[in-house]
Amino acid sequence: MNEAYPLQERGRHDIPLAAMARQKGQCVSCPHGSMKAQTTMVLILLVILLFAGTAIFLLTFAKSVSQADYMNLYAHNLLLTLMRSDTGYTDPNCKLVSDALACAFFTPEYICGQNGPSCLTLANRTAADYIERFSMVKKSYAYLLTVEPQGFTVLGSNGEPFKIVIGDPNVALGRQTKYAANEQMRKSMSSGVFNLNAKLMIMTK
Amino acid sequence: MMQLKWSARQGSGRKGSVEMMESHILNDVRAPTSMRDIISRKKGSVEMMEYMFLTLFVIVIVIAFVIFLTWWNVSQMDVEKSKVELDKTLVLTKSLISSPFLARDDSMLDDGKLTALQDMGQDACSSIGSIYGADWFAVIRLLDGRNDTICNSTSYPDCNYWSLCKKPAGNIYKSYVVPVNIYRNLGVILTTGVLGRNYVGSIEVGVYT
Repeated sequence: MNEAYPLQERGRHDIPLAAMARQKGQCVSCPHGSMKAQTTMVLILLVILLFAGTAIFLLTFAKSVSQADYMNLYAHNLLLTLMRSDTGYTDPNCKLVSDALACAFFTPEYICGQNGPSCLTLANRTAADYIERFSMVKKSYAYLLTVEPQGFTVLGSNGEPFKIVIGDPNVALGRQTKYAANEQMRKSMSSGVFNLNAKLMIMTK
Repeated sequence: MMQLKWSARQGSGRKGSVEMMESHILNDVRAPTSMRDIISRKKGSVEMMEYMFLTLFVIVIVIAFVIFLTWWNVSQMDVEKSKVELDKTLVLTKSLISSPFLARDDSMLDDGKLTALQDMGQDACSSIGSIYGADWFAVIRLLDGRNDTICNSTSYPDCNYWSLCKKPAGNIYKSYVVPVNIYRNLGVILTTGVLGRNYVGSIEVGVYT
């Protein structure tokens, strides 16, 4: 009981620790311990950041397999195949799809064969039918086929430049990656030789 | 009397008084020296644990980074391998659709040539393989909406499917499908000859991996 007196006077908790620290030659009130912990934490954080930065840097340079070459070949071959396919008519103006398209451009009301469809109807029907036979296009892609004059202008019945449009017109406005192919058609007429440009665009749905 | 007692204790030295106070605070009646050792040992082990955890943490980070680098390297090699295989497939596709062994014109295959190759069977593969290499196949389909019927000398012309150098199912391959025309000499018969027709078809060219 008597021995407790000085302790009560000075405070029970701080005296022995301080004394021990003093014995070891350490400074109790100095914040060296917390400084050390902070430095360690900052170092760990820096190491993590360094590794994470390196990982992100490597990932940005990661290679990926591009399908662009294949899709360009596909689009080009699709248009070429379409243009050269037979419609089923032997009339020179309607034999191939390209013939029907050219005929539809210059003489839309021309009748293919005997009691057959008009050139414009045949061109629209066969082009859409043939393109949709390809399951890849039918399932995953929207397409737009346009036929426009090259070097001259033809005005339609509404007074605007005439062009044949088959497929989804939104493809031209879409923001997705598009693959386009162009083919030229030459049509000989009594008034001269005219060039038409057929353009096919495909875009993921 | 109390003062005297305290002084007497004080007289035994500073060290003694500290030990006494420690033992009093901790309500320990054992010798003050052993308590100091225990506290010192505890503090030492805590510091050691701290360093161990720190070391362990750094080792884990380094190992994770090494694993990530290895994974990245392996995945890049896989991508490169896949890219090379697809490039090879694309080149082979371009070559075959304009090959004089199969085609009449660029991207226009001739059904007569295809049927002849189909009849040759594996001989066709070894013959064409001497030009285009081994481990590939080509499947040509006429897109007429009917079920696949393989074309050979017996089924011709009521057929719509040609398969060249195709291995049994189960072999892994990478392939591309490309639209082509298939020219068939089956059109309208004129006085000057047969007016052949171009049909819509597709060719699938694959390379076994």
